[in-house]
Amino acid sequence: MKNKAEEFVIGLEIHLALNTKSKLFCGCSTNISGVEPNSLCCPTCLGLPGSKPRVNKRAIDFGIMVAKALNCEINPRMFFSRKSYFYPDMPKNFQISQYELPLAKGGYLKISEKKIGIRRIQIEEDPGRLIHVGGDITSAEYVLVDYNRSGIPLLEIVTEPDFTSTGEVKEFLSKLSMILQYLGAYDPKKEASMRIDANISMGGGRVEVKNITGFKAVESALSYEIIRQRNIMRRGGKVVRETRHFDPVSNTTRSLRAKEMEEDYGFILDTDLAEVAIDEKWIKDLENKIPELPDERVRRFVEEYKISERNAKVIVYTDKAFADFFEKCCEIYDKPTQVANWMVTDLLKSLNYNKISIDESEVEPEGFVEILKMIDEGKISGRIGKELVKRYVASGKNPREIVEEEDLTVLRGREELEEVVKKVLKENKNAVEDYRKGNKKAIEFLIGKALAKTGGRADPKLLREILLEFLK
Amino acid sequence: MINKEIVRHVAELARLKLSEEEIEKYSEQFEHILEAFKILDEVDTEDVEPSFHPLEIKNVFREDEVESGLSQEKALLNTKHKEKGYFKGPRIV
Ligand SMILES: [Zn+2]
Repeated sequence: MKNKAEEFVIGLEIHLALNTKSKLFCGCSTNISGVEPNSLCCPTCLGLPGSKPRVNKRAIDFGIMVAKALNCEINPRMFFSRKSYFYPDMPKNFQISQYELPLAKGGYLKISEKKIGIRRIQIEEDPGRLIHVGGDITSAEYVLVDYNRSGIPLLEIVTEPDFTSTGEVKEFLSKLSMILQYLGAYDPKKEASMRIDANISMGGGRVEVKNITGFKAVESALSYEIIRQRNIMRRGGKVVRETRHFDPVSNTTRSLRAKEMEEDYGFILDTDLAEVAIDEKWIKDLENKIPELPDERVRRFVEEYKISERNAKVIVYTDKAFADFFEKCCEIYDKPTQVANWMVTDLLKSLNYNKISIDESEVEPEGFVEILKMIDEGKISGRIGKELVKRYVASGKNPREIVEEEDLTVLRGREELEEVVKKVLKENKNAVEDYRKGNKKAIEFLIGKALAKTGGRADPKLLREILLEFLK
Repeated sequence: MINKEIVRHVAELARLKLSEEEIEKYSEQFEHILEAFKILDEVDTEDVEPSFHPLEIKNVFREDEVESGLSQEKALLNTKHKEKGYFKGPRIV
C-alpha cells in the first residue's frame, strides 16, 4: 500500500576515486591496496606544518571530461576551499574541497525513463581511512588511522533529488560508473572507489544517509531507510531531519548526532592553491579525447552489427571488457548475431556463476569463436556447445582441444544411432503409444531421451528422421 | 549582536574549552573586533571584481607522476599515539 504522503524523492552525493597515479596535492602513489598503513604518505598528505599542496593536473583533466560527459557547464574559474572539521581522518583539521566556485554545475544524465539532474561536480581530497577499535563508529574506544588514502583525488557528483525509486538509483550509478570507466577516470576494482551519501525525503522530512560504499550497499541502505520512514509515517509520526550512518554489517541505518551544519564548516578559500582557469581551448582539447561513450556504442552495435538493441545494451552495460570482447569476436567471425546471442546467454550466465568478469576469466575471443565455428561445421551439437562454454569459462581450456580429447563430436553413424533409437523405443512404450494415438508431441520426448543417451552428441535432425521412420 | 551562545558555539567548533569568565570576556572582545571590521563596509565595491586570492597567479600544476614519500617509520616518528603502523586517535562521534 502506498499513498501520496509516502512518496519519496532521493538525491545522491557520489564520491568517486579518480584514476590518477599520484594523489591530488602530492606525488604519493594512489596504489594503496594491500600495502602497509601509512607507508604511502608525505608531509603534504600527513598535513605537517609547512608542507604545500601542488595540484595534479590529470585530476582536473578527468574532472573536466566527466563534467562534459554529464552535460555540465564548467566554471571558467575554479578555486579550492578548506572545509574545517575535527576528525582524525584529516590531519590538517580541514579537507581541501570546493565550495564557492566548484568545477562544474547544471548537467544531467539520461537513464531509461528520464533525465537525472546534476547539480554540481567538485574535486576534493579523500580523507584517511579509520578503523574503529573496540566498537563501532559511536562506541569505539579509539580509532586507528591510515593516511595512505588521504589525498587521493575524489570527484564529488551531486544530483538533484530526481530519483523516485531504488531501481532508478541503481541504473544511474551503473551508467555513471560505466561512463567514467570509458573515460579512464575511474577504476571500480579499486577498494572503496565509490562512496555515496543519499538524501531521502518523505512527507517533508529529509534524512541524509552516510557511509554507503558501492552498488550493493546502496540498495540495502535505501530500502531500509524507505521502510523505516514509511513505518514512522504510518504510526502517525514525523520523519525528523537528521544524518544517519549506514552499517553494512546489519544493513541498517542509525542516527548520528552530527552537530555541524554547513555554515559550521567555516569554508574559506585555500590560499596555498592558485586559481584554476579553464578556457575553451583546454575544454576542446579534452573533448577531442573523449572516446565513444556507452550509449553511442549501443547505437553503433545496433547499426553496424545489426544485433538487437536488447543484446547491444546487455553487452555494453555488462562492462567495457565484455563489449570489447564482442567486437574482437566479430573481427574474426562474421556472424555478429550468433556471437551476441551466445554472449548474453551462455557466456554471461557462466561468468556470473563463477563470479568473474570476462577479463578476469581466461576466455579469449579466438577460443569462444571456435565453439561457434564447430557448431557451424556440424562438428558438435548446440548442446555440447553450451557445455563447452561452461567448461571454457571454468577452466580456460581451449574448447577445440576438449572436443578432440574427449571425442565430443556429433554422432553421424546411422547404424549407431539406430541402435540408440531402438533402445529408447523399448524403454518408453507409453510415449510410443501416445504418439501412435495421435499425440505428435511425444516425439520430442523421445528425441530428448535419445539425445541424452548419446551425451548430447547426436545430431537431433538425424535422430528425428530415424525415429519417424521407426514409428511408421 | 554577539552573545554568550555564539561564543560557546564558535569555541566548540574550534574545540576550545573556555571558562565562564573567558566566555564573558570574549563576548565583549568579539563585539569590538566586528566593530573594527565594519570600517570595510564603507568602501564602495560596486564595480570592483571580487578578489579570491592575494596573488594574481593561476594554473600552477604538477604532472601526474609518483614521487617517493616517507617510510612508515618516519611518518609515525613524531607521535606517541600509534599502534601496529597506524596513528591512534579519539572516537569521532
Ligand atoms: Zn603525500
